[in-house]
Amino acid sequence: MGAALSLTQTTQAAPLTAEELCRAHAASVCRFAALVSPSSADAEDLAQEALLRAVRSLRGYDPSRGSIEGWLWRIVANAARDAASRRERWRDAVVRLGIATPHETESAEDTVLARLGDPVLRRELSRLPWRDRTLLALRYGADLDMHEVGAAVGLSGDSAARATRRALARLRARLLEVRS
Amino acid sequence: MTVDLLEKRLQELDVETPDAGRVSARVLAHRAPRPSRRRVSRLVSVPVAIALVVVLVVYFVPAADLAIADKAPWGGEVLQWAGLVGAKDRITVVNSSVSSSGYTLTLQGAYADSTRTVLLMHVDPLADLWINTSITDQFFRSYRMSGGSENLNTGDMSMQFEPLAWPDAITGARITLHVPQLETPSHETVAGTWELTATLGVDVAKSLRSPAPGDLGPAHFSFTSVSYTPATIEVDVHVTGASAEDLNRMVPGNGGKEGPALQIEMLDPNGQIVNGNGAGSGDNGATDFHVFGFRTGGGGNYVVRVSYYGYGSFDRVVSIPS
Repeated sequence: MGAALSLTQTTQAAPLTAEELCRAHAASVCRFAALVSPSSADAEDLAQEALLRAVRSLRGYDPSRGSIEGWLWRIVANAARDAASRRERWRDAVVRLGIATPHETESAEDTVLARLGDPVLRRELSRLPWRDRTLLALRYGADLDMHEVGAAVGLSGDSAARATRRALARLRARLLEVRS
Repeated sequence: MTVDLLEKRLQELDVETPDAGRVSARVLAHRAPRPSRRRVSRLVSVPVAIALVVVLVVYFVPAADLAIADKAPWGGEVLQWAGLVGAKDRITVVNSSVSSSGYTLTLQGAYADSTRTVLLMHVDPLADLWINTSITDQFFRSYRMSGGSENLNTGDMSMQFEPLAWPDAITGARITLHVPQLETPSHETVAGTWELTATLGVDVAKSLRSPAPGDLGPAHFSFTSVSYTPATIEVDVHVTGASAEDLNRMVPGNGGKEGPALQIEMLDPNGQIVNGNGAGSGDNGATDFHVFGFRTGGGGNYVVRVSYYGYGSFDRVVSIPS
């Protein structure tokens, strides 16, 4: 995983410069931003804002208090939350807790949902509550492990894993509903 | 659907991701300067700042000489395709080659202004370069290709890319052309690594006074900006009173060909139409058109001709100083 590799590199070569931070993490931040933002313009704004916050705070980063990745992704997640709260069009109401149990193997669902195109997946992802979307974007967009996801959003690794599974279940239910 | 399959779809989801290089460059350009713990006297800091600016200028401003027209390896045909007739003495001669997989690419010349970056190329043996071709600048920002032309008999071609971003748009840039694959005339793909670099300046657009507005039927046309470089002239037109759908509906045109109801043409001082690519966008009852033409020489009176099917036309003159 890219993040694990850069962890080794960056903790050995402190202090990290702004250029090194951008070189190592800008691509992941951009991918994350693309998954949590409603448009490409919003994604670019978010990526820039998040990296700018990180660069401006870089002098305050203390390696003894944790990895650079944990520190960075907390900043990125906070920037995403702030951006979301600024956007009134974020929908945070459709949470279907009753369908939170993943269906482990249902070939009919596999067949039906595998045929849904990326545009549908993107649309339904964008309609998830922002917290779900943040979790999924950190895990699958930025390719963080559950410990790192948890650190970014203020949860333990186990809690982050459970929350991410619930987010996945909600997304799956939405996709099935669309198909039906 | 199993969770694993959904996870895989999310990992591979095709989303329009911002360009990391461009975002990084903006971040690094906008970051606040580090606060200094020690006061440095103005007597010392000013010369240091000046020296730093000089170093930055030396680093960023291109050092390449401009082409001398009679030594340029390209012909008039290529300049016409590229829309560089008016800027033929502003093109940076590069003439560097690279070979891979049996194909040699030569970057003969490069030109950039506020509207686009143009590369003049030659490929031997014949091939198309359009597939996944891009350029990057010294900040590793990438610019997409927006058009091009090729002579399939000679291998001469012009390639046009998005305009350079700040600060390149002011200081010039060191660019690298990346061609990861090309296509033979028989449509076979050839993979390879062709990278060519060039250092070029940028002709910054100069603004001109906007012409008077005009009306055609229900539509009101106002000119929001006019600017020019040695190679191009650009005009922005704001249209109200007619919907974008109506302005763009297809109507019978000259020679039996259909065309949009609204036509905005640009004519050079000799009366020749010199339109380049244009773009339009509409919102809330107003439509904006960005039109640019390729200049063919020095200064003179260029005409912007606005025609709206069923309502006639009007001309506005834009004078470019010599």
